[in-house]
Amino acid sequence: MLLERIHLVIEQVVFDSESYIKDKVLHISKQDLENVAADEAFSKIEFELACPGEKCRIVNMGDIVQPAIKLGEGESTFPGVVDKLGIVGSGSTLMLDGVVISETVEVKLPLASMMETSEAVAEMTDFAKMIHIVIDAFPGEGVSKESYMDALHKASKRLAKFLASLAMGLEADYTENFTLECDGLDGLPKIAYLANLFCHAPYQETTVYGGGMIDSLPTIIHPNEILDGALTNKNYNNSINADPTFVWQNHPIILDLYSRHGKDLNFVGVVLNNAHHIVETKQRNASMAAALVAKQLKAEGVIITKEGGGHPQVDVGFETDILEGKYGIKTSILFTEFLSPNNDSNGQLLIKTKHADAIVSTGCFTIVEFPPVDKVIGHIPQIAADGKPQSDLSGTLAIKNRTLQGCESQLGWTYYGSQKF
Amino acid sequence: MADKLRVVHYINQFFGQIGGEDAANSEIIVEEKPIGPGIGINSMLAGRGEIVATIICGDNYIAEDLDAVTEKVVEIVKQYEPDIFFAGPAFNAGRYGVACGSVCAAVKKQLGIPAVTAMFEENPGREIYAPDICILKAADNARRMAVELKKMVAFGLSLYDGTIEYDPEKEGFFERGWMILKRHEERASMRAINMLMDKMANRPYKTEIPMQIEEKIPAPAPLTNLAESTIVLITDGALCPQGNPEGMKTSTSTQFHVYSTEGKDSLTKEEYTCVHGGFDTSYVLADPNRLVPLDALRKLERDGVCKVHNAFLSTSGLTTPVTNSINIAKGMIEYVRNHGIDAAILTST
Repeated sequence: MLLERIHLVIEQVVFDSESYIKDKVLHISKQDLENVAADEAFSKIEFELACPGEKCRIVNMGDIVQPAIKLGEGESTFPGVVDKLGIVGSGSTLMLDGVVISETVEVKLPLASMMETSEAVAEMTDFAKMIHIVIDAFPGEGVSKESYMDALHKASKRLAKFLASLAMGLEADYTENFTLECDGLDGLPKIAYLANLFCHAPYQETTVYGGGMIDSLPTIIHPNEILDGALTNKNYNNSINADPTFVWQNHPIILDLYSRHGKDLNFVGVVLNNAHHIVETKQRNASMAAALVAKQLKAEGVIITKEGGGHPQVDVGFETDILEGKYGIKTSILFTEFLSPNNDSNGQLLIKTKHADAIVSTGCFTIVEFPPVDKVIGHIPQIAADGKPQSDLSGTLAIKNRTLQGCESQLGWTYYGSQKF
Repeated sequence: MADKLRVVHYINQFFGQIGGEDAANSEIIVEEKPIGPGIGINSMLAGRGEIVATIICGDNYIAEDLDAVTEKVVEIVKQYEPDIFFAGPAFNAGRYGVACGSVCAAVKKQLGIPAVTAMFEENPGREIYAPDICILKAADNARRMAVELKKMVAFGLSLYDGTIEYDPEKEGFFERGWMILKRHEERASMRAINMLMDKMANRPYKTEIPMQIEEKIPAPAPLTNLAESTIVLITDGALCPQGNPEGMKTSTSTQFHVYSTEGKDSLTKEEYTCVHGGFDTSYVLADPNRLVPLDALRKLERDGVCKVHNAFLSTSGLTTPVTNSINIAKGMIEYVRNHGIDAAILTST
C-alpha cells in the first residue's frame, strides 16, 4: 500500500474575486467558499483570515484541518464526511502546506479551545505559524446544536478539499511516499502503534471514516489511512482533550515511526481501540486490542496513546498489563499530566501497574496569559482559566495551556513534557 | 553600591556563636553584619550582594512556639527589605532544620523573595517543608561548610535571576512533589519511540511519569453482625440538595458535605440534584437513588438486615489532586468514627 502525498507550499492567502493559486499565493473568493460550505443548518457564513505574526485571536474553536484532495478517478476525499465511503491510504493526495481551515463555533461549547497567531504564541504552538482560513458559520433558526455542529464538521472538510483542488495541475514543492513494504526489515525490532480513541458520546468523538467508535471493537488500520484523512476530529464537546484533524493527518507517532522504518525499526502497523465507559467493555477491548498487536501485527514493541480525560488511562493500563504480562510485548505510553490541576507530580496516574514503566509526559498544567489583540474571529466568549467566560473578547486572556490548540497534544505532537521538582 | 542585593541570614545560637545547648533558649538577636557561616556567604556573593542583617535565634526558643517565633522572624526580615533570604545550613540538626524550613517557607510566602536553606536528607525539616520550598541537599555535619554555602549562594542567585531550571538532580535540591511544564529537545512522539527502543534493547531509560505502586491497603475485617451494624452511604458523585446550598464544588474538591436523610425513605429528584462536572448526570437527576441508593438500604433496614446512618456524605470526585483526596478521606474517616458507624458503602460514577 503506497501513499504519495504531493505538497504545495502556500505563503500568502488573499481574498479575491476568483479562487486560484499563483506564485505560492492562494487567492480565494468568499463566494466560492460560501458555495462550498453552504448547508441548510447555517443562516449565514463568514470567512476571516488569521495570519502568522498578526495579533489575532480565534475563539470557541472546533476543528483545524489541512487542505487535501485525493487524486484520480473514483477516489474519495475524507470518506464518510465529504465523499462516499472508500478506503484511503493509497494512490496520490494533493495537500496545501502553510494554510489550514479552522472553525470558530457559534454555539456555546463546554470545553472549547482557541488560537492566537502572534509571534509569542508561535513559541507554544505550531498552529500559530500557519495561515488560518476561518469559517464562521451561524446556526439557522430552529436548528439544533447537534445539526449545526454536524454541518460545520462537514463544511470544513469540504473546504479543505476545495482549496487543495486549486493546486491541481500546478508544480509541487515536494512529495512524500509512505509504504510499509520495504527491503531490509529482517531482524529490526517490530513496532506497532496502539491508538485509544475517546468516542464517549456524539460530538465527543474522533471519527473513523465518518463514524464514531462508541460501540466498536478494536480494529487494525493501515497508518496510511490515518495520514490520508480516515480519522477526523469531532470533539466539539471536549475540544481541549482531543487533537484536531490536522494532527491526525500529520500524526507525529506515525510520521516518526515511518522516518525510522527500515533503518532501525520495522513499523508493523496500527491498532485503533476506543476507551469505553464500562469496565467489562474496557477489559474486552483491551484484550482484543492486545491480541491484534500480538497475533496479527506480531509486534515486539508498541507505543500506546489515549485521548479524553482520566478514565481512558484505565484502558491503557489493561492493555499494558496484557501486552507485557501475557505476550511479553514491550510498551511505551504517552500521557498528559492534567489530572491534578495543582501539578502534584504524584497525582497524575489513575493506574497502578508495574508494566507501565515507560511513560512519556506530553505536558502538565500551566496558565498562559495573552495580551489584548487587534482582531477577534468568532463571537462566543472564550472560557478563561478561572472558568468564567471572557467579558472583553479582545482583552487580556488567561487560559489553561491545553485550551490553546496545538499546545498540548495527547498524540505527542508537541515538544512539551514536565519537569518534576 | 545602590544595586547590591540585600541579603538577610538566619542562623541558630550555635552558629551565631552565642553558645551550645545551654543557650538554646536564647531569644532573637539581630546583628547588622555577617556572622559565622554568613561570612562565607558574603564572600561568595562576590560583590553582587551583601548580608545586611543576621538573625540569631535559639533552637528551643523557636521550636517551642514555632508559628509565633517564625512570624517574629518574618517581621524582622521584612524591615530590612532584602532581595534574598538564607537560613542555615542546618545539616542534621533537627530543631534547627525545622526552624530553617519554617522561616524560609514563611518568608517565601509572605515576602515573595527567594528563601534558601540546606540540610541533610534525614533532617525532619526536609519532610515537613520540602513541598513548600526548595531545600538543598547538605551533608549531615558541617565539615564541608564552604561547599554547602557555595551551593546555597549559587542557588539563591539563580532563584533571584529566574534562571532556576527546577531540576532537582542537576540543581541539588530535594524533590518536592510538584512539576512544571518543560520544553524538550525532541518531540514527545519521538521520545516515546526512543524510550521503547531502549526498553526493548535493555538499555537504560527513564520514565517521565514514575508510578507509585508501593501503597498496599489491607481489606478490613468483615462485619460480624450485619443486623446490628450501621451503614453509611458515601459518594464522590456530587449529590446535594437542590440549589446546592453549601456550594459544593463541581470539581477539584477540597471538602465533603454531610446531608441528613432523617425521616426519608428515598431521595427524590425534586429534593436532590447532582453538580458533578464530569459525567452524564441525567440518570442521576431522574432518580438520585441511582447514585446514593438510600431507597434500597431503607428496605434492608425495614427487613432487619442492617441499620442505616441518617445522613450521606458527598463530594465531587473530578480532577481532585491526590493530596486533596487524602485530606477529604481523613475527614470522612473521622466522621465515621465519631458517629458510631460500622461500615460504609462507597458509590462512584
